[in-house]
Amino acid sequence: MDTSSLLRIQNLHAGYGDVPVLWDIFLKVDRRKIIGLLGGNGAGKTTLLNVISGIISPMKGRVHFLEEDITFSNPTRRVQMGITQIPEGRLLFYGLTVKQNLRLGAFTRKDKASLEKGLDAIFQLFPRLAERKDQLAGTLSGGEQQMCAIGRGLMSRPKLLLIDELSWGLAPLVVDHIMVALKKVYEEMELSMILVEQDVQLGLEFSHRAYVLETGRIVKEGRSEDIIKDPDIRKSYLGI
Amino acid sequence: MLGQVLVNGLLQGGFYACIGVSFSIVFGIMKIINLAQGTQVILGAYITYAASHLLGLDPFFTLPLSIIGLFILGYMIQKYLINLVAKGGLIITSLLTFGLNLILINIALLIWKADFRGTNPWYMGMSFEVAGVTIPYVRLLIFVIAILFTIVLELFFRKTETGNSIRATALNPKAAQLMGIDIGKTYCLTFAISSALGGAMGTLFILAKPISPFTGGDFLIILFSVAILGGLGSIPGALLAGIVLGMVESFSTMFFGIAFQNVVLNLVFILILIFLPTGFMGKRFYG
Ligand SMILES: Nc1ncnc2c1ncn2[C@@H]1O[C@H](COP(=O)(O)OP(=O)(O)OP(=O)(O)O)[C@@H](O)[C@H]1O
Ligand SMILES: [Mg+2]
Repeated sequence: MDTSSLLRIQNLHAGYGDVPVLWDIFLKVDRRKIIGLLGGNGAGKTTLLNVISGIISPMKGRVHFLEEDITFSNPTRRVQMGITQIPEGRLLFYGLTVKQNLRLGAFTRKDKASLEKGLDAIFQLFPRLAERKDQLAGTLSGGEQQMCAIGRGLMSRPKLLLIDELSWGLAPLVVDHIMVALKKVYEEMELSMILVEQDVQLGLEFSHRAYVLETGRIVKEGRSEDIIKDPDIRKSYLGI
Repeated sequence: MLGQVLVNGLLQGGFYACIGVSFSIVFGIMKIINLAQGTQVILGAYITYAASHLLGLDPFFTLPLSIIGLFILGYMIQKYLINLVAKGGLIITSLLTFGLNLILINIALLIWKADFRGTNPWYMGMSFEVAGVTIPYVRLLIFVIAILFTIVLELFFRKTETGNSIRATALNPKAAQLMGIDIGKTYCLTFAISSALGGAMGTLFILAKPISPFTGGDFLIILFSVAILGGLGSIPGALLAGIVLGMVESFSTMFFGIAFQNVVLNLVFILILIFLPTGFMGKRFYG
């Protein structure tokens, strides 16, 4: 048995209603690894993350996390086990303050005593959030909102962080800043990540391994440094 | 004379505010119009009626019974009825609560018949006077408890973790789910809190006035007015709206007589909405 594996997805089919969107997905995330999940619009990246989070039930296949079969576990259970998603479009609680948003990230945590410590760690990571902690999340700039979404996700102390379209709608400089912070998180916390990106270059540079999805199927997988040299990928995704 | 009218309006307004809040939170948080809420208030009153007659308790001290009884009823209604059809949208859930209202009325008819029933606490007719204004003890008690409950509820939503998780669910159910919040349970809890508050108001109501199974229907216009004028889902707004309605009612009764009370009430309601379409405290980030 491979004990370093955190998440294992086998033969997964999923979709909406009767309409399948994902076919025959096999995916593995090892401990302390960053996985890139790449592909164009409508490829099924978000759907796959939502299956992992338990928002969507698969039609077929198995999902294991920490050697436990979680195929039909509810979202609450999965957050408790250590799977946290930072969703596409951030989905902050706009009418609540930054601090309230962050605290809700720790909703399932039992050790409420260490919550303040968690908050401090987030504020250290993103000092901009500390300055705005009592501001409504809906009034933050796009970059600040993404920082708040990441902070909220980290408050649950995840073992596996699913990040959907981190760079979406952000200026390159802001993306760089957030990437530096994420690298720090990765180095300091014992966690793995699945990074969904339309910016294939960014996704490949930041990950150890990557999967490329096209219309619901995995068409390529391997070490990111290999994929970035792959002529097909360079042609269809990097425009080179 | 003017002082008396003002005080009457204020005292009545506190009660309106609190039943309005109980109705408003269910809409604000779940987008459900609970057409049975008036009758739930009445069920709280019947619990007080039954307990005070059977056990010989002072009706006021039956407050915990109506709160607990309606909390359980509300939780079950949400869990076994509304949650099952919640995806159907506003029309389906409104039909459901409409039907539920009829069922609850009929249960009350079966047990208590159509007669008016009341309580008669020993402090019933007693009052005191301040600067020429008469204040009945019962009315003051109702006002104080109603306002107290409203404030406690607002603090619960603002300051507690559970309260924040309910607000978060209202603001963004999908994100709430991703935080590990159990949305189904959150909805049950919200409905239960609303019902419990309604039940408590029933106990207060029957301290002052007798009720029949149909009395709940009379509350419906008040529930809607307070919720909409206050800005849907806003508790401070509902508090203000309740008191405004109490005042309007009190003044219109004085100037135009009791027959025109509802006409004036509706007219003011429409006027306020023309000038303040989101109510007193409609918020930018609230649905
Ligand atoms: N709620 C939904 N109901 C029905 N179909 C959906 C739903 N959400 C997504 N789909 C469909 O599923 C397919 C995959 O969508 P998904 O959002 O997973 O793609 P994606 O790779 O995340 O795309 P993007 O990069 O644009 O975010 C698309 O064809 C989309 O139309
Ligand atoms: Mg997507």
